[in-house]
Amino acid sequence: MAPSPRRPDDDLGKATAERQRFFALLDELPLLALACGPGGAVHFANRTFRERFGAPTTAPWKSRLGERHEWVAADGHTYQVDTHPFAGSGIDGLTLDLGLDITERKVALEAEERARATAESLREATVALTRSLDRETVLATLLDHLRRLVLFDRASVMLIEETSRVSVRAVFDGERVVPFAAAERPEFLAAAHPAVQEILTTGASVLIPDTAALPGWSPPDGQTGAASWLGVPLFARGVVAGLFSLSKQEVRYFSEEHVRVAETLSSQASVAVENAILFEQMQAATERMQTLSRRLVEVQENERRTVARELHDEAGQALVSLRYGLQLLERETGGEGVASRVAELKQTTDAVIDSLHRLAAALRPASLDLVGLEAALRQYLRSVGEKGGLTVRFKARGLGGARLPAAVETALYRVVQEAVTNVVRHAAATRVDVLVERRDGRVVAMVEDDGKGFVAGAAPGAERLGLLGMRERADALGGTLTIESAPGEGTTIAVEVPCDDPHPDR
Amino acid sequence: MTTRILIADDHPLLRTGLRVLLAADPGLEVVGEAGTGDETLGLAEALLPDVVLLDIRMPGESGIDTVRRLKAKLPTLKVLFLTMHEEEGMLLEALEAGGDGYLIKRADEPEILQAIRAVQRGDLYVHPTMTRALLGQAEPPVPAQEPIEPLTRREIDVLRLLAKGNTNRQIAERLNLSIRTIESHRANLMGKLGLASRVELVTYAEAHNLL
Repeated sequence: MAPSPRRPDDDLGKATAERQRFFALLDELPLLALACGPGGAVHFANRTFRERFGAPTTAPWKSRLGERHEWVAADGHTYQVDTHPFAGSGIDGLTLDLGLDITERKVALEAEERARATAESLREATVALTRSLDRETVLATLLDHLRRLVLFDRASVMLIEETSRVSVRAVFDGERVVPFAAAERPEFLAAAHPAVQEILTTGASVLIPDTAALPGWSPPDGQTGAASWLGVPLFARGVVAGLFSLSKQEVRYFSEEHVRVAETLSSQASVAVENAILFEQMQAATERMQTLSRRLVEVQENERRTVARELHDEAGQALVSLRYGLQLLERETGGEGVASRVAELKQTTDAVIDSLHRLAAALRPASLDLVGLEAALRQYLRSVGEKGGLTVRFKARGLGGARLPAAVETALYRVVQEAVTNVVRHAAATRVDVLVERRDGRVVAMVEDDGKGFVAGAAPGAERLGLLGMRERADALGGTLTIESAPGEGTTIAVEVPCDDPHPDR
Repeated sequence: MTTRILIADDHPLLRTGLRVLLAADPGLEVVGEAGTGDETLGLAEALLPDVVLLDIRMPGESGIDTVRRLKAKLPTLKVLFLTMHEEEGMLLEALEAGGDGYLIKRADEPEILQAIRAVQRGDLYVHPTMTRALLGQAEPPVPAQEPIEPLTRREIDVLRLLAKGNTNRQIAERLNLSIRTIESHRANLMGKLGLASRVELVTYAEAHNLL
């Protein structure tokens, strides 16, 4: 039996029935389903669709075969929509759009994305923070990175100074981070700002959703326009060291997540802040020490000058007066015995004057004040040479004109003195040469011996201290000290100081 | 004819002692006492003494500055420094500034009188223990002879830099050579020139116009 020919009407009817069954099935599924004609006319929208969007006559989106797009409903639900051909539907060009509810997935994805960005920002911030030891840079970096995570309008970093005072170290003024130099930091009493006080005492963040609702509110960093405000403590060594504050012109802007991110960044910054604080303290201490050490040298020099003058001019002159008296006595008394006693007294007086003279010159030679470096050195080196055992040679070049600044003369004199003393005491040398040259805006003093030398950097105790003193004197004048020595090859010590400032008046 | 003397010293006790000591000599008359440079200048102009006994360290300007002013105003006035300072540099400076004599205070009376007479005559008087300073600065003798062997170009470079106060290491860096090489150049050139030390080397370089 030949198969009976199929009638188109039957086919159509069958297709329609199948389509209807399929639509009924779609109605039961928790996905979005929409069947559209080629012109966009809606043939069918399933129940989910109707519940979300009502019953449309035209598709709310442009469907294209094989394409995928996302559709966000007014209530925030998001669907991922794929457009399929609806073959065998019995209607030409009919397409079927199927949409999966991806709202939750999307939220999760976004959260993950945000978390990753936050982590990345924190990592970058940590790297950037540890890169600098300078406190202002550290704090500016902190604000800079925080800005990538929380879109605040204004921000500032404040640190506790001594006893309940707080200083603003850097602000973000809406455009850039501005660090404050030490002299221009705004300061206030922590007690004047309850929010700040609370953060500093409890170590917990403070969130003020609406500053207008808080009576007596004023921005601690002086930046106005904060409708909502968030303050987060900064720790160093586990103790609150300060805080940073974020503000927004919008009321209730900061969320719990903002607080969390800011707190995380704060804890990341704590080591950097601590390092920076320590570094700052160390710098200040070093500076203080240098100032003190220079001051000490100055005071010592002044004292020596005073004592030398007292010895020489006061005590010495009194002795000379006494001597004149003795001379008179010598002349006036006829007795042989008295005359010889007076002569003895004169000798004693001379001996005392002599020792005063030597003592004064050792403390500080008068010629260093009254004549100049060359004369003072020549005198000193002659006295060293006269003690014997060492050939002392001295040469000065270029010192004939205007005198050097007093500080330079004193420093060079003392360095040479110290170096030569070392040679005499420790070097077992047969000769020492001292050369002083002034040329091209600098003056160099050099002490060179042929003694036993020492391993560079390993000068014996007393000498090492002396070398340290020489270096300090050179440093104080912006100069350098060079030491060259090797066992058995003598020692060369050179100090070089800039001195392009002639002092013709001295 | 008596010699008229002005004593310039800031110590009254010392002035008195000196005045009494000098007063015993009939040929001398102390006509005034001054305690500062300004006073000295004023009294010298007013009293026109023959000799000023001048201290070096006084309050305000030093005697060395005062002698310049005195000599500028009164060129024929004789100035004898009478000082505590037995320092050669001070002596040279004092004489250069115009002093006619340099005496230390603990000199005995006869020497003081001798010195006053000497400067009044127009002679220079210097306390005996210090005359050596006038013989020049006792620099080491420069070997006059020519080098035993001519210096190499490199050795002359090293000589110059040594004379300019550079250390071996500084020269090594400058010439881009090792310290050992510089040391050996140095030893060689000193040997050739018969020099024993840095100062001799500088003096040699100076004398041969190498600086």
